[in-house]
Amino acid sequence: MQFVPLCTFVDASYWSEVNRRKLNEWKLEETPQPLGASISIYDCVGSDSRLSLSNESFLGSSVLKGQMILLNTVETFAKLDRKAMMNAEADGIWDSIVSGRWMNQPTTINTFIFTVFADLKKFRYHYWNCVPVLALADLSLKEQPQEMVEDESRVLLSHLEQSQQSVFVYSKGITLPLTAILTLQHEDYEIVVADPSTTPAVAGALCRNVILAVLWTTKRTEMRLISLRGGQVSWRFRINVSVPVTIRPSNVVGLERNGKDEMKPSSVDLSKQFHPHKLMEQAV
Amino acid sequence: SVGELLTPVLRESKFRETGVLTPDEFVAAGDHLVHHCPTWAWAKADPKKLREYLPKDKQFLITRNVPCHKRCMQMEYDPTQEKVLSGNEVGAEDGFAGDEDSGWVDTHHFASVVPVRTLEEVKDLDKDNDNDDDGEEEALDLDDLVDSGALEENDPGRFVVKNEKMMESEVEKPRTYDLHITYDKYYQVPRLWLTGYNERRLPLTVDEMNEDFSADHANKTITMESHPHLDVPLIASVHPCRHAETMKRLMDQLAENGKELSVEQYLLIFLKFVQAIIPTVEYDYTRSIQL
Repeated sequence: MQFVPLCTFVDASYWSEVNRRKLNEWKLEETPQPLGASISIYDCVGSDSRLSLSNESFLGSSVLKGQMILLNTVETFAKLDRKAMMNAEADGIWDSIVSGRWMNQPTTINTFIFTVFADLKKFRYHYWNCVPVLALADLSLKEQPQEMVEDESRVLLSHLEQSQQSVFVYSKGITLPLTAILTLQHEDYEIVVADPSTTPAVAGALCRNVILAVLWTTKRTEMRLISLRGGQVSWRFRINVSVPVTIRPSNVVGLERNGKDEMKPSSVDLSKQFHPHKLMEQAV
Repeated sequence: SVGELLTPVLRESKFRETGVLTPDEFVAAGDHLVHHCPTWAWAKADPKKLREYLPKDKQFLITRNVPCHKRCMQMEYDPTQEKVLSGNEVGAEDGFAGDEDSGWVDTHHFASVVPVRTLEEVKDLDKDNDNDDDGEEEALDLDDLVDSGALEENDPGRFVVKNEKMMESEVEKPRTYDLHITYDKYYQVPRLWLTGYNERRLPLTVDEMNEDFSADHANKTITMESHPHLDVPLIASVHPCRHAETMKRLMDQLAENGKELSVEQYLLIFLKFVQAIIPTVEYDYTRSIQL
């Protein structure tokens, strides 16, 4: 079974806030800062599966919770041990799964670490995002993914809108909190994930840790998933794993590839926008 | 701006008389838009630029990642491609032949297939861009520093677009736009803002964005200004000085036909009329408006 990776989009309003806080608050501080990101399940087919950072990332109300590590030099940014960082984050995710905390706080299993080097003299920003996933090697689809009828999709979308919970349970026409999986008959429910994947019949990266959590919690080799989308058809999956999950998967993945599909950071040059002369013109 | 500072917040509805909105009416129209076109969402302001006449979590509207496949040039009207089609010709295929007199004009009848850039051309373009992109040098330094080989992941679960498809999508990967609608306190109408990104998700320059604005409006109706709620550099905005007038005219036309426009529908109509200014930006305006 395969999953569409996320692609990080960063607004100028995000960098503008980084400029301000780096100069006035953080200075040479390199400790992780809490950060939020938003996703959209309404983007059109064929566009990137988007994770967005903006001015709102600093306001503490976003759907995804993560952290930013802002490094002071390009060398420390480049040499940062991202594998170790992701492994440590994966430990936290696994802890949330094992303790059952994930059922009340699903945001604890989908987190991200956004690492940045900001050259504030030249207004060039280098960044690399990772959304850690504990990868199960032997996930497979029991049958072809099925399209969901629009009426059912609409019920789930309106629940999402009201509850602001991006992972929940759907059973016999009603929506329930995740803890319901502890008492429901396994054949009677599906797990719904608000999924920014824009590829038909392929689930997105944010489903992966949820699948792991469900398989570990139920100790079963099978589960059903709904990849919920707003701008297009939602998809139903029947997922299999060869043996029940009893130990933490060792393979941690999720470091993002850049626009050229290379395992490298991305860069953006905002000197034309942020240049002091330009800013002075604005200050009038 | 000073004008904005000195203008009191509009409290009493003047929508029917002059086509302007109060902040409350803007919020009602925004809620309606978000409900019917969920690609749009309410956004919060930078705390320093919070406008207290709007709810804290409903300062302005935003839609991101809107594709823009063609440049305006490619859409421009060319009279040599024109052919008058008779009513029969038009209706025949759909099974309802029109009358002889009411001919249609097919403005792109003789047009060849839309010119799509070949991969080679795109690569050449890329090269050109790289040359005047002085950020490239810095990126190379970083490439040397990052040992990407050691970071390669063994992830069979990662979905990769198939090879031949990827070539295609590389050619067709569109520019994208983020659109914002703010409430303009001075003109008392909604105001549209645009930030564009190229195929590689880098911000577009003003000149590049002008390729996506209709020639009649670039540099005139569209101006670079500072955002009322965000602490960002100047961004492109459709100047709101004619919005109320246009809205009022539309309402009058509808009234002649015995129909009435509700204040909630304001932004749906607004998005339809600004489409003339940005004809190739494919935002969600497809929902038919029932009056």
